[in-house]
Amino acid sequence: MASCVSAQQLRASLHSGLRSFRRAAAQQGRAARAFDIGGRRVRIVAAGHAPLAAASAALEHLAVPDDREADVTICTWSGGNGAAPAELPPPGVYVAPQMAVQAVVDAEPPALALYAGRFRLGLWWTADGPSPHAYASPLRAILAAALRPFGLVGLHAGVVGDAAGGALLAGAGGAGKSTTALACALAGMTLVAEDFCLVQTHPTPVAFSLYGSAKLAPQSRAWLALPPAADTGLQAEEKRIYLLHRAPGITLAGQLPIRTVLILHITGAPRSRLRPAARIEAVNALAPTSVRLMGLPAHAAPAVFHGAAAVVRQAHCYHLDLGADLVAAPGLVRAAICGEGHA
Amino acid sequence: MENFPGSLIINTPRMIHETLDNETVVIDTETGVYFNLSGSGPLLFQMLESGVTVEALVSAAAAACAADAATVGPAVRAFLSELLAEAILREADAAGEHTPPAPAPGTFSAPFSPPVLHKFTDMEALLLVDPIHEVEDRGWPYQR
Repeated sequence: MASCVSAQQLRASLHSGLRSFRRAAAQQGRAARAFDIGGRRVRIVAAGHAPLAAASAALEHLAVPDDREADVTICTWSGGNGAAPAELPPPGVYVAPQMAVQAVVDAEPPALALYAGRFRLGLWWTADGPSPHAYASPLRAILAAALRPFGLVGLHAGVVGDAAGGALLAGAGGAGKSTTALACALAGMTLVAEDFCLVQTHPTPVAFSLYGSAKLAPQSRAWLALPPAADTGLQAEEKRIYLLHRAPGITLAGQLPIRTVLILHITGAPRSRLRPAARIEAVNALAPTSVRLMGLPAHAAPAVFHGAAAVVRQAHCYHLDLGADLVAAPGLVRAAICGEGHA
Repeated sequence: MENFPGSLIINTPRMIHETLDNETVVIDTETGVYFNLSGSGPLLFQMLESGVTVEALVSAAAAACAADAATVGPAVRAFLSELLAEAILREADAAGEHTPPAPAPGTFSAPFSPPVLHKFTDMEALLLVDPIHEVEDRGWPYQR
């Protein structure tokens, strides 16, 4: 018979998680850092320095002095046996809207990511330290849930730009978001996001940085040739993880106003090109994946969806057909930002 | 001919939707499947935000494009059948007829453009791998 998970059990997971964190912190000491994410102060408190380093490596570009009260606090620790929360639901994704609690429980490797909205408190436990995916995009579900009440919605998109503003790079997995974002960054444009970002839609759309990491497939690695200093040596499936704040010549920024939404397509054509896109096409490219990847808890899906639509309404929309001439991409992105996209 | 429920309404909160430039996107938050509505689909969908009978919907669509019900009826009914099959619509809770709101000026012009439903399933697999369990006091899964 399947075990039963109730709202009370989620609450018990929260309390047992806190007890486990406090035990771990008593044994290993506490270390803390603060980050400005979307204009909000997020404080990460860890039991020991290793979990703090793992949770914050991809957030380094957003670090601020830890000298005042935080909007959101996230406790993180790692270890098995005595360090594991005593009461965990079976692996799965759980939300208790009436309690404003959500939890993601993983089995391979064992992990808990829990956010309690009433306390603005997140818990992140891993048995053996974060997986490479989690190292590159730490605390994603927690941060998406924590920052939504502040008017920030998470989108599955890259963001690059210049003094004229920013371009949101949208498209299915494998459409070229990461490669295009990094090609633009290496060409001197400012990088806000490679894969996930936060957006504020009113009064005008602004994209905020979440992670300063990048994950590149082997072919993209060969094309882009990122500086070795940025290479972490970690692999998330077939993709190599980079920390871009370590890359000389790449400019990271905390935010950019959104001027254009680009729907990326990898084509077999010799030349890349821009062509106008219908707004509904841009919403199709942005909203479904964003709702799924950044829309926890489930009742927050409308906020992500309507946020994506609000961005699209206020931006020029184009298809960016990527050809063999990758070097042309930054120029086309700049043109789109200025509203000069054409076939 | 399909027997429709008394009144039909958009199946919220499961279905979320936005209309941009006379085209509508609908996302099924349970399955990850998403849809686009084109032609007269967005207008008809707008009329379904409150409970409305099929007959009233056909009459409103016909009046909006200066056509007769016999011309637009089959296409509207076929469209509604598709929406019901995809759970985008459900039977409205309130019984009785409802007069659909008049279309906004310029949103619907003659001749009648058949409503079209496009379905996209590329997100479906992503959601099925990682379903979200909403828990209440009675727990999940519910004990029987």
